[in-house]
Amino acid sequence: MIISDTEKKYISTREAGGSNESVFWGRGGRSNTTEGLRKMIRSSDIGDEGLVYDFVGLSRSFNRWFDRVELDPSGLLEEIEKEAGFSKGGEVISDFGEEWLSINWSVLGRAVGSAIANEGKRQGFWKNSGADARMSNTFWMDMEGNTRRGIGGRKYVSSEDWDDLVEWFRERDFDPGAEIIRSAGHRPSAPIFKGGSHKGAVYSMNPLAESHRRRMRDRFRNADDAMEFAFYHGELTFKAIRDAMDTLNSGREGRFALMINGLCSHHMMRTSITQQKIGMHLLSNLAVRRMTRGVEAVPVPDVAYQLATGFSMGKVLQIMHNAGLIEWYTVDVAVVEEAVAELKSS
Amino acid sequence: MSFDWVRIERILGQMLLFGDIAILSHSSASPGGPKDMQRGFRNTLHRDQSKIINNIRTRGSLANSWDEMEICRALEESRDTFGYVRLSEKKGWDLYIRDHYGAPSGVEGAVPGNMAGMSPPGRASTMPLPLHLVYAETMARVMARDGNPWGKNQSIIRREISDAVIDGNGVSLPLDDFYLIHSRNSASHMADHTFQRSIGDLASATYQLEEVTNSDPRSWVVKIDPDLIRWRENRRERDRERDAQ
Repeated sequence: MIISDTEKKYISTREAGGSNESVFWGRGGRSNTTEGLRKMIRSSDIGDEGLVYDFVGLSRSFNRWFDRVELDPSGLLEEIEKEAGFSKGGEVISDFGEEWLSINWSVLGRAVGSAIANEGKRQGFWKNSGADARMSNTFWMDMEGNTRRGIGGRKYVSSEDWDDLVEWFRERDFDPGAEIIRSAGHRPSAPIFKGGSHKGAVYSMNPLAESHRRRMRDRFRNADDAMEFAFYHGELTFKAIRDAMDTLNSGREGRFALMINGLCSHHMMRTSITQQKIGMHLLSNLAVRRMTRGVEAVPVPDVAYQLATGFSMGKVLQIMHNAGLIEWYTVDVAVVEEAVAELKSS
Repeated sequence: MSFDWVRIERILGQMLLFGDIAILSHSSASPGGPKDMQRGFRNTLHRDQSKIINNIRTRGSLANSWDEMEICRALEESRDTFGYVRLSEKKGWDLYIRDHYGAPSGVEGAVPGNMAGMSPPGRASTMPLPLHLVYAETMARVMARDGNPWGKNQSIIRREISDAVIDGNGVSLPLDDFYLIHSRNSASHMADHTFQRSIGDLASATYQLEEVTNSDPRSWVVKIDPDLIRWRENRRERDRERDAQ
């Protein structure tokens, strides 16, 4: 069964405590009625009727991407390169080859984690600060401010300006220089490219990050106020994800690749444990199991216990589900226990 | 004075002791070897460097108080003659830097520019790994503030995985064991992420999931990066040598 809106709303608003403390994710399952859930919170007896376990999995919308990568990699690559060729600064990203066929789930997870933390704060779920989003936005604004145009219109930041920029941010406990290395592993999702000649190094923004930034600003009425922008960072990120998923659902996998890598390359923040746990580990867990073993869903009680995050799991899942990133199912406790018994006996 | 300064002194002291860094300044008063002469006594070894190293060795410990902060003091004293620390020439970092970043103009016998950028498409760089980051991470762990270095648990997990492979078939371990090792070290949530990590992290070991042919119920093994296994074998070898002494 797909979780009902009533259950989702009740769980996300009433759940208390961290992911491994919640009464909803314990052994024996939870009630599938609001009355039963209320009793669980009060530690009253809920009987044996209507008990379910929750399962979550990566959104089925991603299947189009996985299928295309598996069945038609060369066609997909051609489509992505064509799309990249039409985009601004396309010449910079034209030779990434098969790197386009991998999504950097770790970075996407971190971007989602940071957006969840931010969105939860905006919705009043928790008081986590939006300082990282503010710092990241300030960095991109400074980067844009220092960008010059070179021969052929190529945009870059000079070595001297870059060093000044990095020094300023390092003093504020954020090191943009450390992010340069991302381009050594997966270029489509890297924020900054280092280039240059014997005259000295130059630094340029990934054009996909620039496009993502433009789209965010368009949605945010061209505002440049880092403080206000940071307040809506989560909501804007999830809108960007929804747009990317809509693009994927309409069969434009090439465009989807550019949008999702734009989102990843734009993510430049200090790596906090919160982002890692609620974003990176949760999302990459679901994605890797889906990609490598075809696992459609995993039990929420196991995930909640393993993550052991101070954030409420119900609220995190609600935000991810509303963003179209995950599927959320409920399965009768009896069915799950029968399956487990069968597995144990085999 | 903040204790952070002492920590910086300790890190620099450790690097100096290992011969990884050198203290330099512009000074005609330094002892000066042939290289110093060539440089016209610019960027010469600081006259106190050998003394500082000897003092650390004699003391048998890194700096713990202001009196023992000799590197910071040497830099302070030579501030008008451009005193600074940099990577030592002893460890061959220049070779890595030349290959990884290219050479600046004006270096005799070297083609200027970034060689990685000039290599033909599809050809891998000979020195692709971010060694300076690996080195920095190692130093950070060695000098951990509270004796519980960041990433220690991940090191333990890598060690246990490698041991399981070395004691097994030398190539892979069952997926169940892979999960169990993570779970035993309170890191179940990181197990799946590990498979993905080598994308976007050039320095990460690769872990490849493979289905066991004709298995029923289906089962999988995790093939481990041979470089990781070699790292662990070398480490075990060193431990054995140390125990034998």
